[in-house]
Parts: sequence; structure tokens; C-alpha cells
Amino acid sequence: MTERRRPFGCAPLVIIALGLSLFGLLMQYSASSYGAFVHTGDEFFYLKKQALALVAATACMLFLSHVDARILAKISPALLVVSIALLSALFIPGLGAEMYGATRWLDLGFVTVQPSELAKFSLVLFLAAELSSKKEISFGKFALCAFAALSVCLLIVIEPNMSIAVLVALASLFMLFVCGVKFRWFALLAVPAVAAAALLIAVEPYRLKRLLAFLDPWASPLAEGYQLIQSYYALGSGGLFGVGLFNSRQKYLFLPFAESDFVFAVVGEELGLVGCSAVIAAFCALIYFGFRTASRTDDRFCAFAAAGITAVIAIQTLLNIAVVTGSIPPTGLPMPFLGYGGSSLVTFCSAVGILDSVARREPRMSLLKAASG
Amino acid sequence: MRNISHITFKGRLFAAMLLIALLFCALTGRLFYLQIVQGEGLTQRAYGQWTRDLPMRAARGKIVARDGETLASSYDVFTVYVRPVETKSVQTTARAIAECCGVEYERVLAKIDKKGVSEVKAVAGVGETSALELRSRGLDGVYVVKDSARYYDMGNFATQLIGFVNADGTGQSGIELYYDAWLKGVDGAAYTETDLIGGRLDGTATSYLAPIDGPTARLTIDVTLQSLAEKAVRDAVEKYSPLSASCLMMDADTGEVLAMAGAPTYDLNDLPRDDIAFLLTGAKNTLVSDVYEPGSTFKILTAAMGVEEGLIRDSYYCPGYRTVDGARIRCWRSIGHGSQDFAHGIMNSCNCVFMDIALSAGAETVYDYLEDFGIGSRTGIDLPGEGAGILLAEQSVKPVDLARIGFGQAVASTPIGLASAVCSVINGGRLLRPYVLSSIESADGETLYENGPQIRGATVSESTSEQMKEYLYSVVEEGGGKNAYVPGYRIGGKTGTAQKYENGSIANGKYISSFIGFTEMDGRTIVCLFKVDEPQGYVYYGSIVAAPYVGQIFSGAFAAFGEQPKYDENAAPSSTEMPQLYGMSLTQAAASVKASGLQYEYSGEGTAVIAQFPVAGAELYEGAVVHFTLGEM
Repeated sequence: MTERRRPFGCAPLVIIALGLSLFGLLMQYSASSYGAFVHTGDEFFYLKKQALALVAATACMLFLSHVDARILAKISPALLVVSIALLSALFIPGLGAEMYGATRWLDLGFVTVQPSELAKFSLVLFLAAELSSKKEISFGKFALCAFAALSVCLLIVIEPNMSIAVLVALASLFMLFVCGVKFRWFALLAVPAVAAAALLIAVEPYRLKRLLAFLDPWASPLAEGYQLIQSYYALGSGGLFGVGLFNSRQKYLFLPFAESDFVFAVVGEELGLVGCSAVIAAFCALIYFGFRTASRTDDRFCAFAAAGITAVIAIQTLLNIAVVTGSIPPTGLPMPFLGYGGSSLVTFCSAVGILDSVARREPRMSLLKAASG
Repeated sequence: MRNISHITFKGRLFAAMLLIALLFCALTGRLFYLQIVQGEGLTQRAYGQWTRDLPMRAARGKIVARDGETLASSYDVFTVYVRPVETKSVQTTARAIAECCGVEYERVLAKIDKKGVSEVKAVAGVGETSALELRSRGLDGVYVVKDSARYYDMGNFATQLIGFVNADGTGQSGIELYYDAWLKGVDGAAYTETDLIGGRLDGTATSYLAPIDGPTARLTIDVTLQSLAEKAVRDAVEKYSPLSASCLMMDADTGEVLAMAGAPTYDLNDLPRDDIAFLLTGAKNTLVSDVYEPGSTFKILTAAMGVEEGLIRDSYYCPGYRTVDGARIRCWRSIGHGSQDFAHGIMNSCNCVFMDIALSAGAETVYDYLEDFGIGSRTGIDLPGEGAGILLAEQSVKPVDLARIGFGQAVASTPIGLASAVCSVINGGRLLRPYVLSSIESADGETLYENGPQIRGATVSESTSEQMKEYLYSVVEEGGGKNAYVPGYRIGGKTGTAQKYENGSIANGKYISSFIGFTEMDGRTIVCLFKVDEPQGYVYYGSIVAAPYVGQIFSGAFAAFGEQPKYDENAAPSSTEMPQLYGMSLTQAAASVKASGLQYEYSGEGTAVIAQFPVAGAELYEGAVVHFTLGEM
């Protein structure tokens, strides 16, 4: 009964992640085929690129699944440094690729990658390593962690990529909370957070406008409100069972980013509330298995890392659905696994690989029972 | 490592999980709200952006005269729309359109060579042959859509009354404007499914919503009378070169407008679109929109008030003026009319007589009557832009003003307002709302809307009305209206000559000559108002300038309707003798009376005539009524 015989630590995790990714390929194809044909002449343009990314993602996942997760604790500072270096490299002219008015992609010649995707998981691993190193978390540790998180956030904010910055901030807060930081220390974080928000709105007032636009998209149907209205149209016309796979009407250039940030709206249009609920259920199951893995492992670092990784998946999914349904101000954040984007898919699958590696460490149920019995 | 910290970890992890689960539930609730609760409404809104529609114009409803003669009709034309994004090449498309429709290539190209527009109207008003040819070429992105154009079957005929439409087929004046909502029908549309930038989606069909053509508007206008009025107006323009001339004919008993003609005018099929000023003046229906000082024609109303109120004296003396509050107001005849009775006062149109009536009635009574006659308010005629008459404020009116109002000065009315008031004097005192639309009829003959006589108020009594008619007949037969006389027919009327005011003072040499006449024909009592604004030359009296045209119109109408003369003008009624009826039976007596050209009444019951009036052999005029009594011998 050695660990090597087990193909997966937690098979449901891998199955759900790959299932969502494959379903994502299908929905991305449906959402993007018309736009891809109009703009590139190849309706499979996005599908081909994402399929390649999925192959790479699966390879990363399987590889990491077989690596002892505890090694990550040791290399996490190095990973964070690399991430910060890559984020900083975006500001070197010629390396950073500007798209949609933001510099988020690093152009490596043959492929463009998003350093922020790597950074968010590097930070989570770093925090897990630091917070698990001693039984009691000293204020010094807390301060180091907060400083690391704020640095990463700041670098991402100035890309600018507000949504990932918010995600990183929320995930960091989650880590500090779950890993046992004293409640009163959180109060110290509130001060810079409020100050940063106020400064951002003062420096870039368009954010406030965008922040308020989601409350009444019909007030500016051709400007700030446009994207949200198109998302509403997609969801609304889907109804309970949807208009049927491939039958989206909104994908005919009406809904921007239909294959990435708003792929969930296309799910809602084609497969209805039933399809949306199924996707949400799959994510809930994934998150459940992620947290279960975290709670079952006997290694502090692995537990914290698994919890943090799962939290990133949960928070990003929540943020994306909230944006698509107009529940929070619109931000550009792809849905994990489902949304188009190679960097995103590779990092999320890698993250699931780490989760699976952690799960491999759990004592098996039968053994546990035997031991207790 | 099962220590305190780890238990804290599990507890906090569980709390975080609960929060995340709660948030997923909330978002699922939000999805339910958007997809199920709001789904229907959002889908409807979304549908608007998924389709592009091209209008399919409904054919505008016909306008016909009272007996069905077509005044305005519609015919099919075609409009060519282009969706630039769908065309293979704008140049080729523009060339094809230019060839088929006979328009300049450059103009078409300039119109359709645009980016960022979903569709453009390339050519409008294309004939059927050109449209079919273009359609047969099957060009991508070219849509040939049916449109409707207007044709006025009688051309320059009742121009101001009928009005016209603009290039989009929307009524701009007259009936076309007033009944636009009816006439325009309901436009249809051709819907195509498109993407965001208007590109047509493959495999989708165009769906059509058929237009509903406008129903037919039947007017009260009589083509015969309208033609006579048009002719008279044109004759007057030719003879007097006035600013304008116009003619209004109404049925006094119903308020139906039978004719409305005006000049200057133009052919409705050839509008002077380059000369906006002329287009607008020609479109203006001055009979309805403009007020004028009616002058002596207004005396009909003053006289009716006098008769109704019992203010008529046995005789009036006219020295050529009246002095009111120290001011000398002149009669039109400066040497005066001398002594005259009321009937001659009307025939002579003596201002003094009417000043006396107005002054004896007093301001309150005069204003009560003005209100009853509807002077100062709108008649409510179904035409756009009706004006209201103008009265001096009652509390500030001085005797001098009152005296002038008596003969039609210091008061203003629209021609339609005055004509309606005069109708009430003739029809027994009913003030009617004039109207020009008789009914709106659907294609299968169903009446969708109907106008009928509508009484707005009461003016004078039946007996006053009868008396006034006699006075007005005598004006034409013996007085100032002789020029409107048609031998053998009874025509009543009143002339009017009013000085025009400019900037608050009398404009020298500028007059409005008018005449209001009435007669019975074709079973109706018809009122005709004829007005010449600023006739050129030395003559300006209404009796000379306007009255003859009313005579001309009536004379033409009598002939057209086959109206027999009431009496022979030249021969005096021939005389006859009362026959001896004594002892005759009823049938014998009746035959004998008729043979002598007389009419009879009888009383009593019996087998033989026992008394008669007058005695046998008495001289009588033909048509006189005699009386006999029946009894037993």
C-alpha cells in the first residue's frame, strides 16, 4: 500500500477540473466561432489555441500531482521572487504586450503569458509556507506576509489589472484568517486598504464611474452599461432550459468577451438556469473536495496551501459570476477552467495538480478505520 | 500535529466554506431573478437588437368627394435600401443601382459608401419596372422595399382644403394633416436577423409584417359646386388681380362644407417646393385661419339681433352720418339715404340703421349675441389652424365702438365663423359646427368614423329667421345685391366692403370686398361666401366685385342640378277668375278650381258646396288660395 500505487490522490478533483475544462472548450467554441470567423476567417481559432493550452495544462497537473507538495514550501520564496520579477518585467518596453489598454501579458515571442496568473498562486504558496513554519504566528510573520501580499497587489494594480488585484487581496485575507492570525491584527490592514481605494479612485476617476455603472446599466446602454446589458440579454433569453447548445444569439458580436470573461453568460443563454446551476454545482463540488483535502492532511503547510489554492478557485469563480450577473462592478476576470485563456487554464490545472498531490498524503479511509478500530 | 492551532484552522476553514456556499446560493438566486423573473422582458429588449427592420409603407388612404369622386389617391413606388456591410463591392452595387433606377452613379456611391451604418436609403420613388429589374439582379445587401406615393387626381383643385404630404408621406396641411392618423394606415416592416454590425445571419429568413393600408376619407365637398367655386375664384383673380380670393359654400342646415376654393394656388402634383414662401401661402386656408373685418356682411347678424329683440323701428332717417359721443361716424353714402323703413335700410346697407340697432341694444345684449353667433370663438371645423375672431373687451367697449360693430367694423371674424353665424340666421337659429369630412370608410365599405351635424348653440327664433330671409331676398332682388341675381330663382344675400387696417390705421385704397349669399337648390339651403382681398383698380364695392361671382356660381349650380326656376321673371303672374262652385260636389269643385290655376282649402262635410270665397268672377292671380264650405243643399 505505497503512495505510488494510487493514480490520484483525490480522483473527483481531477475529474471535475478536466470536465470543466473540456466543457469550457465546447462553450468557448460556441461563443467564439462567429466572432473568430468574422475577425480571423477561422471559426476554430480560439478552440485550437485553448486545446493546446489544455494539453499543456493536463501535463502540468499530472506532473505536479506526483511531486511531493512539501517541496513547494521550500521553493515558494523563489517562486514569489520569480513572479515579482515577471510582473516587473511587464514594464520593460518590448516585453509587455498591451491589450485593451492594459499591460498584462508578457510576450515571450512564441507565446504570451500572464505573470499575474502565476503570481497569485506563488503568493498563496509563500503565505502557506511562512504561516505554517511556526506553531504560533508572530507579528513579524504577519507583517512579512502582509507586505508580500501588498507588494504583489500593487504590482498588479499598476498593470492595471484591478480584478486580479482584488482577487489576490481577498485570497491573502482568507489565508491570514484561516491560518490563525489574531483578529485584532486585521484592523491594521483596514487602514492601508481604505487609503489605497481612496487613492485609486482619486487618481483614476473612471473607476468610480465604472463602479457605479453596474447599478443602472440602462442609463448608459452604449457606454459603461453596454457589456452588462448584453450579459443580461444573454442570461434573460436563456430562461430555464436555454435556447440550446450553439444557438446563442448574443454571440453574434453583441456580447464582448463572450469566450472568456462572459462565457458563463453564454452558458446561461444556451443552457439556461439549469446549465448555470450545474456549472455552479460542479464548482461547489470542486471547492468542497479542495477544502476536504486541506482539512484531512496532517501537514500544516500542505493544509494551508490546499486551503489557499481552493480559496483562489472559489473567489475567482464567485467574482466572475457576480460580474456576469451584475452583482458587483464589472471587472475583467475569466472564469476558472471555463473561460478562454491559456495562462489561466495552465495555472488552475497546475493548482489542482498540487491539490491532488496533497490529497495523496491523506491516510486512506480504510487505513484510518483500521487504525482507529 | 493535532494541536489547538489545527482545530482553529478547521473551524475557520469551515466558517470560510459556509460563507462561500452562502455566496454561491446568493448568486444562484440572482441568476434565477435574471433568467426566470426578468427573462421575458430581457428577451423582448434583446430582440430589438437582434433584428433590423426595413419599413414597408402602408398605402395612404384615398380622399374622395361626397359622391365618390377621387380627389387624392396612392400608388406604389419603391425605395432602395443598401446595407453596405453586406455588399460584395459598393462600387458594383452603386453602378447597378444607378443603371436600373436612372440616377447618377456618383450620388448613389456617395450615399452607400459608408462605414459604421447598418443601412442607407439609396434611392426613393423608384418606379415598378426599375424596381423589378434591380430586384432581379439579386445583389447582396440591396433591398427593394415597397413605398407609397401620393397622386392628386384633380390636380389644382381644392388645394388648401385637401393639403399635401411631405416626402415621407406625412400630411402637412389641410385634410392630409388633420386626418393624417387615419389616412396613413399602419406601416409594416421586413425584419432580418443580423449580428451586431448589421450583417445578415446565414440561414435566417426575413419575416414580414404586412402593412395595413389607410382607409378612405369621404369629404362633404360637392365636386360640382367646388368646380364652380374654383372657376369663379380664378375669374376674380384674373379680373381684379387681388392679393387673394376665396369662396366658401356650406349647407346651412347641416354645417357641411360643400366647397372651399382659394387663390393663389397650385397643382398638388407639382408643388413649388423650391419657393417655400409660395408653398406656404398657397397651403394656407385663409377661409379658416385668417380673420378679417367683415364690414356690411356682418349687418345680417345685427339685423337678426334687432328683429329678435324687437328693436326695429318703423322708420329710420339717414343724413349721411350719425354723431355718437361727439364723434361723427359716416354712412357709406355721404349724401345720406334720407327716410327709409328697416327693409330699405338693409337693402341700402345703411350704416345709420345698424348703428341705431346696436346702440339701442346696448353693449351687454350685443355681446350676448356675438357670443351666441360664435364670433370670437372657433367653430371647431375639422381642419388645421383655425383662427378665432377678435372682439373688443366688453367692459372697455365705448358707444362709438358699439356703433361701428353694428355695421361690421371694430370686430373681426374668420370667414368660416361668419358663414356659420349667417347659416344660423337662415336655418331657424341653429349654430352648427362646420365640417368637411363626412366619414372614414374601410376598403370593404365599413364606416369607421363619421361626422354629422353638430349643434353648437341657438341664436335666433324660427320666425326671426323667416323674416330675415325675406329681408335678404329683397337685398338681391331690389337692393345692393342685385348683381348676384339669377332670373327666376330666389337668392338672398348681403354685400360687404371693408377697409383694411395696417399697423392700426386705415390703409388707403385697400379693401376686402365680399358677399354672402344663399339659395335653395337640390333640396338644400346653400350659403356661399365670396371674398376678394385687395381688388386692384377703382372698383372695390362688394356689390360689384364679389356679388356677381356668387350669382355666377349659383346660376351654374342651378343648371348643373337641373333646378327649375321658381317663377318666370319676365311675365307678371297671369290673372284668372274665381269660378262658380255653388252646388258642386267636392271633386267637381276641386277640378274647377285647379282648371282656373288656383289652389283651395275647404271646410265642413256634405255633398255640395254651400259657400265660397271670393265670389264667382272675382279677379285673382294664378296660384292664389281660395276657400269653400261643404254642406247639404
